[in-house]
Amino acid sequence: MVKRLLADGDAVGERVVRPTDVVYQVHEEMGSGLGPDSPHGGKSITQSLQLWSPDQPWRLYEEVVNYYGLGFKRHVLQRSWLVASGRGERYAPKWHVGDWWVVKTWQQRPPSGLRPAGDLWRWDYRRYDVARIDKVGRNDCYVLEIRGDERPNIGRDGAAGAVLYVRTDNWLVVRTEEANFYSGKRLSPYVRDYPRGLFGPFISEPRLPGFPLHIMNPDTAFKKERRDDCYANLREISRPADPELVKRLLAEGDTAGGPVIRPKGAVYDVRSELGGDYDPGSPTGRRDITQSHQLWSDDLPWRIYEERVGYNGWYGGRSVEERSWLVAVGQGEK
Amino acid sequence: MSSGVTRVALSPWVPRYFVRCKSRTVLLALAAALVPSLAIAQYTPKWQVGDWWIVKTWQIPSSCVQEWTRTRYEVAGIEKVHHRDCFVLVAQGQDPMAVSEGDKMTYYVRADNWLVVMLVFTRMYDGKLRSDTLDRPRGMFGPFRGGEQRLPRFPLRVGNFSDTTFRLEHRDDCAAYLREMSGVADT
Repeated sequence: MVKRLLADGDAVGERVVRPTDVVYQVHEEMGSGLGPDSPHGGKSITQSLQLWSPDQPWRLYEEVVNYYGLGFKRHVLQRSWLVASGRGERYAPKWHVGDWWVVKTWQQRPPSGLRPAGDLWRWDYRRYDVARIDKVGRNDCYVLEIRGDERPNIGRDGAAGAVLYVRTDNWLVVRTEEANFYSGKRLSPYVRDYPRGLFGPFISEPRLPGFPLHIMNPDTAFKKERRDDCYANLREISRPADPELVKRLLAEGDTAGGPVIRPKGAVYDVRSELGGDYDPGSPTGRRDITQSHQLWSDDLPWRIYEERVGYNGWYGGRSVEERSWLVAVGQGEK
Repeated sequence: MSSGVTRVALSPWVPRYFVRCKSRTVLLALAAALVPSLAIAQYTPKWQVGDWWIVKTWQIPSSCVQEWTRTRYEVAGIEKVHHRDCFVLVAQGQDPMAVSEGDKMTYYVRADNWLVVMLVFTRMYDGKLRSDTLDRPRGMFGPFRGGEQRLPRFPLRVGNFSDTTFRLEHRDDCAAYLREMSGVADT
């Protein structure tokens, strides 16, 4: 019965939640005309059939049915199914000083006449270290050092190529430091402050989602938002990830440079989008969109997957510009 | 008749195994072995502040009701109502075409017995949010529609079929003949 009733819920829209534990059925009933003057056993019954499981906070299924008259003709008034649930919606990654992780990225190099046509793509590795917590203005920030290489085995020796200052309360990147070399000599880094924070799926930025995530936020319209350097039409959509999608995308990451990290906790699917505003008159379906599609997990400090995709509204083209996977995590020196 | 288990066809909510025996001890042992749910009869959902879920609902469409709707629930906090701790359960429609920003229903669900003792409707009227409160100290129980949640009486008395007759019960707004039966579902 449970299998059949839940399968009915898959027919329209998203797949409904399946239980992993015992299922209890509850019949709540209300009878009318059941008084002493109704010897025939009642004129009608309203029944709510519900299925509850200890692994979910709400019933998996409910149907409200009226049974009318002596023949008890059945009339279904409503049916409902649980389609998603989560605990502690306020998901944000947990960082501690000393945490580190390595990300491998498959990315398109900028076009160059010096490069053979087939040599546009390359693997790139980056190590991130939570070095300390510092103040920027009045705000505590994680100081995140980044070192890059073409090999996965990156140590923490040597100065960082870039440093991000990420606010501990809302995860906005409010300062960046970039290594500065002149004639092979290291000079003071370029320091840039972003009081409003860096957000949105912009190239050459960390593209951190708005933490804590607002999972299943019903407002999915683009919104014009003001950054320090520009205005942008942005939206962010997050939801529990489809396990099959996670499995497939991570398996694709195993193909070069060794296996990627698998999550043990809940996985969240985050789509951060920048809507092109070059032609304000474009119909909604024909806008250019830059999307950063990310997967984050409860048990890992950084996204386990990201792909940056450009959608060309007028020509319907889709181009994947970058894909990255988490390949190592740790605490303290590697 | 000798001790044993007889499968009988009863209505769907009646356990499928009916135990007959002369010895009370044997009967209890058999019941525990055959109906494991009896051992965990005190089921209640476990909620924590921050829990959320989404429910999709089909209902008979009308001029003011859509056929398919989605509702997001969130356990927003715990507050005292009538001197009792209550879960504050906020329900918001997910369809931006049918629901104005700020529209919501807030259910105050007693943490000890899961009765909904207060319901606050918040709606947008003429550009302003207005709230209407239904105060129901006896609790909103029974399979009523119209904004009610039809929560069962927790903890469930799973497999208890000692009294399955309708009983006249008094709510704050009416009296109704009600009954509730629960069992382990056929998967």
